[in-house]
Amino acid sequence: MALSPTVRITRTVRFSAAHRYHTDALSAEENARVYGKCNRPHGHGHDYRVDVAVDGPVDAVTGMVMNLADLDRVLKQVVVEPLDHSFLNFDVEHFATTVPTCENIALYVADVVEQPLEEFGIRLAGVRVWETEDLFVDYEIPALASESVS
Amino acid sequence: MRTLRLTRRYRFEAAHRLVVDGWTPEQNWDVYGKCSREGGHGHNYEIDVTVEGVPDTTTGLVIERAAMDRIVNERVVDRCDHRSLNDVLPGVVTTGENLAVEYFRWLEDAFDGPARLVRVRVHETARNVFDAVALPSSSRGDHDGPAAVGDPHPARAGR
Repeated sequence: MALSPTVRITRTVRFSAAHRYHTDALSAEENARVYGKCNRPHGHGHDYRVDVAVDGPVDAVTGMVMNLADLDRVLKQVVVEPLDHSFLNFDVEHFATTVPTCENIALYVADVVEQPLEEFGIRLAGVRVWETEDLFVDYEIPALASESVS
Repeated sequence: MRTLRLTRRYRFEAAHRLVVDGWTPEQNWDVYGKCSREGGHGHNYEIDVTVEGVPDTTTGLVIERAAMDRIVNERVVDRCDHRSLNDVLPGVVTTGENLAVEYFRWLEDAFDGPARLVRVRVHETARNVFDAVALPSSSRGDHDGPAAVGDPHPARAGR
């Protein structure tokens, strides 16, 4: 049987949250210089958009890489529900000690979705987190050489 | 250490005209059509600048936003906004391809670490998008400093 080419699905979810850029590792002046307005004490918020990309072969019967309802359930459970309408620094344990920069949110999303996707036999390919329409961060997970499909 | 790419969008408005110096008006019309009309025309340009790096372990940032804005505003936006690009770039046909390559060169050496410039995307209109991308470091040879001429190469996106 011929191998199916790998197809990538990208699904978008959104959540709204407050955050503040501040690290105790820097002085107040350094925090203000590095983070600018984002360091203001009471935080600010964004309507975040998260694009999650998964890779896999197309199932010969269903014609799907992954059932989007399953993907939605995972994203809702581990991304949207814990983060939506939260103050990331205070309400999400990970961000009590990790500055909730767009970069760190992208890594966090990758870490929390990877395992649940694996349970469906699905490889997480990448995460894009949009803080605004003018700023986004990409984290792409390189495929293992043995997984690559020519 | 996990490498991330951060993309930030900048905007400016500028005039331009597509014309090769030394060609007849007919030759320019044949190649560039309306874009070669004598009075020029303009676009609301959008420039996506992408840098790559590992987030700083203290700040959690691949690059400080204000530092990035300063670089791109000084080197690209302020030089081009509300100007004629043909004046800004004499001798260069101001196609999206050439703009992408020029902006890549203007910016490249300012992102001298730890974040590295990997792509400049020029949106001339919503339908015309041009990328100049850095070649992977493995194919750059053992150069020191900015990539050699021709290193950022435009991917033609059509017009």
